[in-house]
Amino acid sequence: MKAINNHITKNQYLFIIQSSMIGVGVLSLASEVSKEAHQSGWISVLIGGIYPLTCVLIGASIYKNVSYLDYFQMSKKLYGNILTYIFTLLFTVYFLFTEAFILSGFANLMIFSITQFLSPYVIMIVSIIVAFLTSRKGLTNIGRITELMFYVTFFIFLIPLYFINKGNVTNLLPLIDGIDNILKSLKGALFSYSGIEVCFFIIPFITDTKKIKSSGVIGSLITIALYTMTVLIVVSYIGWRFASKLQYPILYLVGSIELSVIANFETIIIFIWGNKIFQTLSIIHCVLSYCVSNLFKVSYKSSCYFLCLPYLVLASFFISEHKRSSIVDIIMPYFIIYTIIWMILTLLISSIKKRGIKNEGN
Amino acid sequence: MRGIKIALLILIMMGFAGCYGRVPIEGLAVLAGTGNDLEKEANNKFKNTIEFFVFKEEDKIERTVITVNSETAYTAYEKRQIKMKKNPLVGTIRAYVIGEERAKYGIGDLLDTFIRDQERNLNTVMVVCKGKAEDIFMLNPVENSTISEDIKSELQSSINSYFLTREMEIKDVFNMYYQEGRRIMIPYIEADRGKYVDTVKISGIAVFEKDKMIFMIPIEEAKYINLIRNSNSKGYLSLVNENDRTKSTDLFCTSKRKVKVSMENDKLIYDINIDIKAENKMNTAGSEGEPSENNIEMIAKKIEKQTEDRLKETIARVKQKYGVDVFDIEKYAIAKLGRDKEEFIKDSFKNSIINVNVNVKIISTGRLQN
Repeated sequence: MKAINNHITKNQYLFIIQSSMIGVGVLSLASEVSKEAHQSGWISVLIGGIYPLTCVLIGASIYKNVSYLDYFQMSKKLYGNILTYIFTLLFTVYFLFTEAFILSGFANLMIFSITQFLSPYVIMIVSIIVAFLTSRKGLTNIGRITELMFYVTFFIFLIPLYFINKGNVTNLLPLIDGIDNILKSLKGALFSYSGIEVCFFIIPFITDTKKIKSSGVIGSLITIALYTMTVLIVVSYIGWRFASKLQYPILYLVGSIELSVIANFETIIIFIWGNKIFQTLSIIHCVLSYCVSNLFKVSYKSSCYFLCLPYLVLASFFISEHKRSSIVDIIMPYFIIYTIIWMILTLLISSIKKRGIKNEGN
Repeated sequence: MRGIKIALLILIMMGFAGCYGRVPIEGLAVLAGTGNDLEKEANNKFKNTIEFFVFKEEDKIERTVITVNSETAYTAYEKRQIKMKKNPLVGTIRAYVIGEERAKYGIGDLLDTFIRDQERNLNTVMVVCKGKAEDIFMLNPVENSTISEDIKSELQSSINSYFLTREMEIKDVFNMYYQEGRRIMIPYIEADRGKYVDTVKISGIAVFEKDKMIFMIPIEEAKYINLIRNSNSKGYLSLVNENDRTKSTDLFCTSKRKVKVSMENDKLIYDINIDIKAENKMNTAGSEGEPSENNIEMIAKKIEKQTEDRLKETIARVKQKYGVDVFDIEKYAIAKLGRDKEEFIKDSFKNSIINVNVNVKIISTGRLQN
């Protein structure tokens, strides 16, 4: 049997970063941010973009300081065995929840829109099988798939562009009516960027270590641009008050245009976006399995296999969208705060211990 | 072996795709339109009418109308279902017709229904009708096979007259309902029982406050309101010679409006600029001796003057008679002053100053020189 191959190129890293964030968020983001920030929701999405940018930049710096050891070696050097265990366990729980949220969100959307006749569990099981099969062979496989799927993302870009001159600027004015509103809605914007944390685990696998920072930044910028643009277009077209009332504003938007052959864009956008979801699921599943296999000293493949069950169970608690979003609101802030603390702490310690580790390498 | 495994997996997954739980086409009633009424005598109960196609033989399509009383929007659905032989397909509805009394009672529940149901089409039209919606469906259509289709195609063809708006579909109604500083304004129709043919006609515009209709503007009066309200709308402006009607001028105009808002001494000032591009369709009013260039400019000036006067007259009348913004200009004030001033802007509409400026440019004179 071939060993698991985890090496990726820097372009594949870019695509993985870009698509690790496209979750259920992109469809409901406009509604999430317009609740608090009203017409200036897009500004908070733009400001929220600082989070993924910081993550990829700090991640690259950390690994540069420890001369690209892999995550566990790095963590053990910096924190010792026990703290490494605790931190990784927290990340594991975080990824488990993220994956469960994405999976249940996907199932909720499918039974809402195009497959009303299926049970959500069927959709979840099928998605898990797809995610399992994709991530079973390691990161290299996923890198290749994301490379292919990246070009499909442009369709998600193109469809909202259809609406660009149909909106009304008065819906976006006045640009800012209160900084505190924008800050309040930052929470919702940050959730849509969750998933970026996988960069802390995959950076050491990049073969070409020269342009990690720029690849990460470009990857995040693409997603930030996509998010900001969709929010801008949705709010300019239907206004913030209506956008905040809808469950999936983008689906409403694309459903409102009558086309002759394909009726409307709704099914197409769900198809493309569904493929992205499978891919996001596999990325997170891969990183999750990597964590678990190292934590509990089992092989990557078997942890990949056994992990399917716990998050299916977890995801089944979040069926029905209002339940899911209320739980996301409660849980997510803690994880994001944890990630921020972890990355700043690691950056500090790694830059202090930098010289020692470099010397050891020599 | 691996290929076979994956192929098998994909085959199994394909089994999950399909039209499970759907009624076959023979068992479907293809809805064409629905009507909603209020029964004032029967304790404000609702009355729901549907019009649907009946496919009998090949190439023979008929229509039927069913009416039921109900407490809410969907109890009607339930009650109707024990009368009907087929399952209704709501995605095909062409027109929602609302009786005048129902519109005055409030249509919030209907709007909610139309948004919430994923199956419903967002490109249907919504109109208010004089009297009962039920009576509209009792008409006998000739041009189309259903009244609902009549209504929809009539609205779609009406955009070249009276400067009527293109925003008449249900998604535009949702936008008008939810966006700040706007109000729902939808066509008001009435039955037109002709000598030979029954049809419906647009006889005005129904104006709403939130989800309740407050008044109707007759179409002749609505023409100039439309000219101010709707950008990129089309219609005819004429110079009428009362003494000799063969010596008149007709222009086919496309309007474009721009609104600027400013504040002065706690008074809102709206500057509305209307650019009109006109095609000369008929002109016998011009004097014989003058050179053609002057003649065209003269007509443009005259139309400009006349339109501006009428618009000013309209604005004064609207302020006095209706007292609410029917020009769709408050949204610009809110965009300028901020959301928290919404109440102030609404209250101060009567006292605000609305300046209007018309520019007419004749871009074509047809085959003739002037």
